[in-house]
Amino acid sequence: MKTLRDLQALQARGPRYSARATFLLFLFASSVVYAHERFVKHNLRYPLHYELFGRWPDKPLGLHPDMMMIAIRVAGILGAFFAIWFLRRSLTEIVERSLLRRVGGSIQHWGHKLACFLTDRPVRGKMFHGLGEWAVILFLRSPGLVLMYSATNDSLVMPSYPLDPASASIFKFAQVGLAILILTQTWLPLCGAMIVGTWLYLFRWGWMVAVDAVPVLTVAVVYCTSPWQSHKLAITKINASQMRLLRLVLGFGFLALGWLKVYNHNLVAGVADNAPSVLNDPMVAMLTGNPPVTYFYRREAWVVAFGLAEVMSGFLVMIGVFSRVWTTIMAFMFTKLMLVDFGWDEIPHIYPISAMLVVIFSNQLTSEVDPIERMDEEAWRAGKNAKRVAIIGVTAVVSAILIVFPLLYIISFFDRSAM
Amino acid sequence: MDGLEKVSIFAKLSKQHVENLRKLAKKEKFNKDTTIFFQDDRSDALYVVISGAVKVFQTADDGKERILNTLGAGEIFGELGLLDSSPRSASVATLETTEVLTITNEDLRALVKASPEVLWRVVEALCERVRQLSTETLDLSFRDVPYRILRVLITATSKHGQVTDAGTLVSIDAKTLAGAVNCGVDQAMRVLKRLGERGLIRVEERHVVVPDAPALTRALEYEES
Repeated sequence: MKTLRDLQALQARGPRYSARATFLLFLFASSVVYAHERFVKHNLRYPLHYELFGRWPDKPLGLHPDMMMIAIRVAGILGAFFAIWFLRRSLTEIVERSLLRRVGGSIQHWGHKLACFLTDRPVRGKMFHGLGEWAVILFLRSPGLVLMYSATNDSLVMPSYPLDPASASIFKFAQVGLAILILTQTWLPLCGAMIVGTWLYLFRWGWMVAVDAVPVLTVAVVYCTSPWQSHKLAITKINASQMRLLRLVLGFGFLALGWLKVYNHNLVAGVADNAPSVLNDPMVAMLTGNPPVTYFYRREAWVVAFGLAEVMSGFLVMIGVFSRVWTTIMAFMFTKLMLVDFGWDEIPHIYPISAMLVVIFSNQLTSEVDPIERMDEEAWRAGKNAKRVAIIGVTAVVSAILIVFPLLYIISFFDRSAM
Repeated sequence: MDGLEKVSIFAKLSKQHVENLRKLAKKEKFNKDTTIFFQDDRSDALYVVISGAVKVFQTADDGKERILNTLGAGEIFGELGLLDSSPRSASVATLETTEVLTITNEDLRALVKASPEVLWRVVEALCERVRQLSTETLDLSFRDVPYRILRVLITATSKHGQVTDAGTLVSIDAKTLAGAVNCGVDQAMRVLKRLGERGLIRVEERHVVVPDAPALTRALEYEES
C-alpha cells in the first residue's frame, strides 16, 4: 500500500514522476503473481522424440536430418520472399501494363489496389481509409478491455498470470485504473510506461515469461510516443515513425516467440497433446515433405515448423517485407485459434489481432531494407541486370541463412527434455 | 504520320533527330477510362498525347480525387520523372480514347544530350504547369465554386473540345468537375444546371455541349464582377 501511496503522491508532481513510480512499483513489488499458467492446457501427455532437437555430430551443423530439412525449406521460403520483395515493382509493372491497362475501368483500379495492398504500397480508398481509422481506435483501446477482463479473472494483464490472493485486490484496482485511462485515452505516455513496467516485472518469473509477453509492448511504444494531452485528441491515425516502432516490436515479438517455441518444445507439444486438431496443419507437410498423419516425428516437426514459421513471419514483419501479407496471415491464424481451436479463453488475443489490423490497413508502411532497394533501383535504372541479380541474390541468401541456422545450431547444444 | 514533329517540345529538332525519336518512341492507344499510370508508380517515361484527352489527378488516402489538369493533343505528361526520378506525383487517366507516344527516360536523356533545346521545351511545359497551379491556388482562396467551374469548362472547351454542328463537345461530367474545383458533386451539378438554364451549356451523359464558346468566356467576366 505504501508503494501505491507513493505513486499517488508522485502523480501530483507530474506525469514524468508518475511513469518512474509505475516502473518502480512493478519492478519491486513482491507477491503480485504466484504462478505463470495458461488457460490453454499444455501438459505433455507422452514424451517427445528428443533426438530430433539434439546433436548429431556426423551430420551437417550437427542437426538431425529432418530438422535440417525443415530449416532449409524455411530458409528457402524466406529467401524467395526476399527476392520477390525486390522484384515486386517489376512484377506488378508487368501485370499492370500488359494486362490491367488493356482492361481499364474499375477492374484496372481494383487490380491496382490489390497490387498495392500485396506490396505494402499506399491503398487509396474510402473504405480502406475508414477501416484503418477503425483499426487504430480498436488497437488503442483493446488493452483496456483486456485489462478489465483480466481484473475480473483475478489475473495480471493477461489471464496467463493469476494474481496472488494476498495482494490481488490492489492490483485489480490498478488494472481497472489503467484500463480506464486507456479507454478514456488519458495520459497515454503514462499508460505506455505502466505496460513497459509490467512487462519488466515479468522477468521476475523468468526470461521465457517475459519473451512470451513481448507483443504486449507493441501498444506501449505507441502510447509512449503519444501526446500527454491525448484525452483531448481524436487519435485515428498513427504516424510513420510510430508505425515503424509498432512493426519492429510486433515483428520482433513473434520472432522471439518463434524461437521460444523451438527452445521450449515440451510446452508447445503439450498444447498440441491437449488440442490435437492443431496438428492437422498443411504447413507441416509443406516444411517436412511428409504427410502429418503418418509421419514419425509428427509432433516434433509440428513444433519446429510452427516455431520457424513464426520466426520467418515475425522477421519479415520486423524488417517490413510484405508486412501486410504476413500480418493478414497472422491475424487469420490468431482469430482461428481464438474462435475455433482454443475458444473464448484466448479472447485477450484481440489485442495482437488489433495491432495486426493496424499494419494491414496502414498507408505508412516502410521497410528496413529500403537502402538496399535504393541500390537495386539505381541498378535497374542503369540497366545493370547482373548487379541487380547480385544485390537481390546476396541479400536473400545471407538473410535467410543468418535468420534460421545460427540460433538453431546454438540451441541444439542445450538439452531441453526436462524443461 | 504520328504528329511527333507537331509536338512543341520536339518542334525545333532536326529531321534526323525526329526520325531517331520516332524509332525510339512507342505508340500506344488506350480506351476511355484507362489509367496510364498511377500515383506512386515508378517514373520511367514521358508521354505525348497524340489524340484524345487525359486527366491528371491526385488521390488522397481517403480516396478523394483532385483533378490537377486536363491535357489534349500535343501536350506532354510524366515529365517530372525525367528531372528528379521520384515516383509519380499524380495519376493520369484517359477521358476518351487516347493515343500517346511513350518515350523512356533513358531515350529522352540521350536525346537531350544530343539536342539540349528539348530540355528547354520540357522546362517551358513545367513553367506553364506552375503558373496554372498558382492561378488555381488563387482561385481556391478567393473565387467561389461557380467561377472555378466556369474556368475549368472554358479551359477544357478550348483545349480538347470537339467541334460539332451542335456546338463544342467536352468530355467532362459533374464528378470530374467537382474533383477539379474541389467541391461536392451535388454542388457541381447545381452549377451546371444553372449554366444550362442560362443556355450556356447543355449537359448530356458524361458530356457537356457548349453551343457558343465565346459566350461561355463572357460569362466568366460577369461571374468575376
